[in-house]
Amino acid sequence: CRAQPFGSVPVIQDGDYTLYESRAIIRYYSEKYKSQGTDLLGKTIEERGLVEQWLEVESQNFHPPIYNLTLHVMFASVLGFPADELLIRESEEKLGKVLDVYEERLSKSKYLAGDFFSLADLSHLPFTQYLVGPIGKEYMIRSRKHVSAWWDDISSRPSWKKVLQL
Amino acid sequence: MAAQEAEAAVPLKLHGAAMSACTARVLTCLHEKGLDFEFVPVDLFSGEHKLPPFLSISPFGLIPVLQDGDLTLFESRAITAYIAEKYKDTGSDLLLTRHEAGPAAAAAAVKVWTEVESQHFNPAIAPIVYQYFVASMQGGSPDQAAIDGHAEKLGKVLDVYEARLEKSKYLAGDSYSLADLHHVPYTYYLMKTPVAASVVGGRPRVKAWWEDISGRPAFLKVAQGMEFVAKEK
Repeated sequence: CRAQPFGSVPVIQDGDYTLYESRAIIRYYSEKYKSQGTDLLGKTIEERGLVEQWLEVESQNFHPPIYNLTLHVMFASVLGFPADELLIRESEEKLGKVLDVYEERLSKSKYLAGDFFSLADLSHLPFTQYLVGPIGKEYMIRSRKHVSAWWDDISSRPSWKKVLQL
Repeated sequence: MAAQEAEAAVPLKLHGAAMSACTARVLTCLHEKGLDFEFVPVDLFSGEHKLPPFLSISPFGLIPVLQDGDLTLFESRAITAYIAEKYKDTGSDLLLTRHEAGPAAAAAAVKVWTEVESQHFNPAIAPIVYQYFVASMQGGSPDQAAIDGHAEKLGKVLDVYEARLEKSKYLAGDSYSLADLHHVPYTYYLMKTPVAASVVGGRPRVKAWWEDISGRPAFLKVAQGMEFVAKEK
């Protein structure tokens, strides 16, 4: 069984067009199919600005610590590598501070970019799923009332349930 | 006879992931013994190994896991030792129990060098492989200071190996054994990194030993599944 655990995945091919980097890919599809399905980019330029803002927050602030947790808690020991306990503690602390910012934001608006579900919320799904499941840190979500409600909402969308069944 | 037939009817089951060095260690051992087994891939990307059904057979969430009838084993070196012992009269003489001159001494040497691999070799090599194949994913760079530190330690371990291999063709004696086998998967990954040239290449007996043990048909079968892809872009 061939496994490609990391590396430049995902990659898409749309006819002759090839694209990698997951956040570039989701923006491409959201733009290309703007007129069908859920409007993931907001309806106005201002809403789009907020979606982009929170996508940047996800990429720069949320992703690095949760990625470290994924690597060290989920993958390191199972692949026979030493897990960096200090990094795990530091990453959990950093992630906690990011989630505090989210808690504040989500106490004022239903979703990150406003009162509409967007690409910004969607981009949090996979790694948060790891966090509450195999990483074993569901308490980080549940201890934050608005983050918890937001997580229940976005993770119960049919599109995400389809992905989990793959 | 009936008991043997009943035993033969239930195949060995190995749970693991093809790119995991520890899984590869057990796969190599199974192939050296020419055994039939069922391979059950564990879906690391869905975190299967960290969730209850799997945890009931492997409480630390580790792979590989061997199931032999009612017996369940984890820890790759315990599994290989079990296979080597149970099937000591077939396939490769991994424990050197069939050694013509002094089987007890030969078997003891296997124990010594499997401990050396576990206590001295593995702690030096694993962090290097980790830096190149795992830590540097997703746009990060390997931590060169960590690599250099561990490469120096690994060099000192391999100086001992170089001296040992002047006295015998393999680590535990003049025949291939479990002690040599245990080194293969991590070294396979190390040989794909820039460190290989100096650490292994610079030690002629270690290099010759590596070429020998990595060229065995049993390992070549396993190497096909060992793709731990570093960043491609």
